[in-house]
Amino acid sequence: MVVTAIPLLYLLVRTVDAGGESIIAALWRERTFDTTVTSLVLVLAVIVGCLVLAVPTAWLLARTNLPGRSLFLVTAALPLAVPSYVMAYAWIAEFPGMSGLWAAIWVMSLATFPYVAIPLTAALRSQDAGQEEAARSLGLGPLATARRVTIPMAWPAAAAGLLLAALYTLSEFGTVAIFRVDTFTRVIYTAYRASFDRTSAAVLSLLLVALALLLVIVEARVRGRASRWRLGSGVKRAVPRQELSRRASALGLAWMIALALVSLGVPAWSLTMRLLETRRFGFDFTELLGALVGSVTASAIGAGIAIALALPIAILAARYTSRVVRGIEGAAFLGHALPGVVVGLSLVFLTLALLPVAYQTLITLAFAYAVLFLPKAIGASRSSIEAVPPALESTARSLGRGPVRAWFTVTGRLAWPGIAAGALLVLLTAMKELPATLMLRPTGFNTLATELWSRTDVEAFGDAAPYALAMILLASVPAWLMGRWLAGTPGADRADGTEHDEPVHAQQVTYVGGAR
Amino acid sequence: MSTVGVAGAAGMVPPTLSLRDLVVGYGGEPVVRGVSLEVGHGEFVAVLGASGSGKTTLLRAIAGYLRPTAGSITVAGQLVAGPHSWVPPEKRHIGVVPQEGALFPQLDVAGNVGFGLPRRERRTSTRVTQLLEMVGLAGLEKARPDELSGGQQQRVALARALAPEPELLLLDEPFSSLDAALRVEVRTEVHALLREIETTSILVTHDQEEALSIADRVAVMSAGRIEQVDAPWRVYEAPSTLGIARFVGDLVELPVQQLREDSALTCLGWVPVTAADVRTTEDLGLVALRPEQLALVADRTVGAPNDVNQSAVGTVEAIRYHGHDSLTTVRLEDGTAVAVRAAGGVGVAVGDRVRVVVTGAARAFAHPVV
Repeated sequence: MVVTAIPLLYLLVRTVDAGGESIIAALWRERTFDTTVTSLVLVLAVIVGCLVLAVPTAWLLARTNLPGRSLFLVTAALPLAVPSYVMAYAWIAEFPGMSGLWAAIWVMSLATFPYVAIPLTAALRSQDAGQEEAARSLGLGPLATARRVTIPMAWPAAAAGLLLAALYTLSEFGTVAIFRVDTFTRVIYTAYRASFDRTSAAVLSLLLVALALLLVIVEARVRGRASRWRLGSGVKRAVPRQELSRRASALGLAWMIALALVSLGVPAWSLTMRLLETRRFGFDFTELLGALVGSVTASAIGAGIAIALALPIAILAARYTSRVVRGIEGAAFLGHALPGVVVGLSLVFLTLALLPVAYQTLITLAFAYAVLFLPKAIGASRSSIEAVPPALESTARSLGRGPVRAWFTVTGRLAWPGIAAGALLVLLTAMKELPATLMLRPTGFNTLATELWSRTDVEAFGDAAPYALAMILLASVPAWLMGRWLAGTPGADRADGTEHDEPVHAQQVTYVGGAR
Repeated sequence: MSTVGVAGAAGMVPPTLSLRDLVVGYGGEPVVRGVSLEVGHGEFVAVLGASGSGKTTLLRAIAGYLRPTAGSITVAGQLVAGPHSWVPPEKRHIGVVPQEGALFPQLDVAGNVGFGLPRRERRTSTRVTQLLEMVGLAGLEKARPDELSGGQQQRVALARALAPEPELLLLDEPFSSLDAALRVEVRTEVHALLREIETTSILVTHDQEEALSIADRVAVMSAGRIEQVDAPWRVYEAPSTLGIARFVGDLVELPVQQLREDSALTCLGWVPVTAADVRTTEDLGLVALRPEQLALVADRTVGAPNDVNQSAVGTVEAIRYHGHDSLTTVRLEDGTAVAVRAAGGVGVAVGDRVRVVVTGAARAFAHPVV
């Protein structure tokens, strides 16, 4: 776990080294205050935006007989497959006048509302009819039942999703940079780029990490509380769906279609138009190919390092629950709170100070990916190892295999698909990472993300389209894999004559998420 | 213990619950097909049926979670469901204890129990404390539902349902999720409590022992209809159909070889019978005995084989010893196997020659239509 901590610790050391006065000076600047306010306003506004978009959507999908529900469930989840800065690019390419805080709020809300809508739909759908019926039998009308039972029970799912969206927004770099909004990530990046104002960048980074850490801890607590809320073990009875009147159906359909249009339709239209322009003006495919190779190389090495680091932790965490193990796992989990720009910055400092040879090398870049996405790798490996009954391994031991061989021939053998899926997930997520790549890549080394970035930066929107499309295609792979995996999960395809719904799991969101 | 509380229906006070030709379904084939039942004030009625018999659907219709397609439901003289009337569940004054308790996970125990009380009473009154004392959970006000055991959760659900003082309490297999030992303990307590506060209650269950041991009357349900409503002992000793006889307990079924007015010739000799089903002349039917109506006598203590009516000789094939009683399987000489229940042990071993003697009368039934 030291691995995650090293960059952060080094950042801390550097900041302290700079001396109390310059820290205070950096903290006390008007710029710092403005940045904090802008970031917080953006995060809060996105939270509100997510609620506004997600709550009616989840209710329509989970509790009504709206026609085309299963299709709309997909369109409500699909924005997760569009990296948010690709979405920002698509909007600004179509409406070049967009910029500033409002534009960022709009795009970030569209990009992150599925984090709330999907778990909320799942929570509303999976609520047992028992509690609502009990409330009715105790004298509560439908509205009072919603206020006192349904909403309080669904709240933890929504809250966890909101915090995830907030964390995502706080760490977002591409979108705020495209719309020129001075939040932490952009200010840190600019400070690092323009002036090499290290102390200021480091202080802001620590402030950002502190805020993100707060979000991560609160999110974990909310999620933990929600998971305790399962009582009893019997068969649950689904809440019957509300029959919509013709007018309500029309309104519901209009809402779902409008939402799909702004979150998917506009980006798709914009990209297609730019792509057509590109075809007209000709396009350098070798450059695209080079960027693709760059993306895959760096991400694959990163995924390899991440899995190598994750496996020992995952094995320990899945089988033993000592305090030390939980501490290690908790520390890894905190990696969620490290925005790409912070990891990038700290590794720049670290390599320059301790190992100048490693500065802006492929290995450092891959290492940054590993640090950033280690929690994902641990999560995936851990759950697949946990799924293997320990009795199998002990049986192998009793049949004469040594501990290591027993693990590899039994547990490892059975768990490897999950571990491989974790590696793939890290690989695909790392391909989308922008700020750390910009800061750490070797000179002349390009990835899809950096090529897209350099084109949007000079407002060459037409040239960026093929890169954006390639990114979306790559990003949809984990979404597609998860969908297939969920469809193959027992219980997802019940033939008991009850409601036949698309399976939605809150977990899906945590897996697919993280498209920084 | 108690009288057969049918009286409530005949008296001046209207029955607490009255069902008339109730039909309930989920769109397709009805699940409840014409049920009529009256439950008097303070009565405890068990609706007993196998899974799929429609008993839970019936309960949900009474609670108001389902709209009947035909028939009527009257609670304490007020029509709550009929051809032209419908009262939503929250206005019926019917308490429900669901199968899994369905406690509100976001509230503590006191919040759950006080849920159905008006806002003022929730805060100030001592009602919650009283109710918790009543169900034996005093002092657990601040506990969260997930900290409680299964039995405690069910008690909280009971207290919650009783808090608004409902006209009628519905219990939907509330003990089935508890383990065996706890089940008996909790249901005995719940029964005593409901009797003490004279709450009219309907218990839905598939456990015949449960229904027989705590109900004033048992309504046996099968394929959406109520087949018999009677005192528990009547349901067990004088079941109206072979299906009920088989469902409520172990049964020894013997084909009839010859039939007289009040007795039937079987492999156990001439056995006195009371008729139940209509019998046609060509079908002699069968007689049914409970295993405890049979007794074992060591063969040597009796005279020559088969000289005694109501008995036959056989070999002990298997013994299942349960402590308080035992069930012995005897293979008679004609090849029929019969089960004999005796209190405690029987003092015979597998392979012993014994005589099986019938006491009391058997019930005669027509052969079931296959």
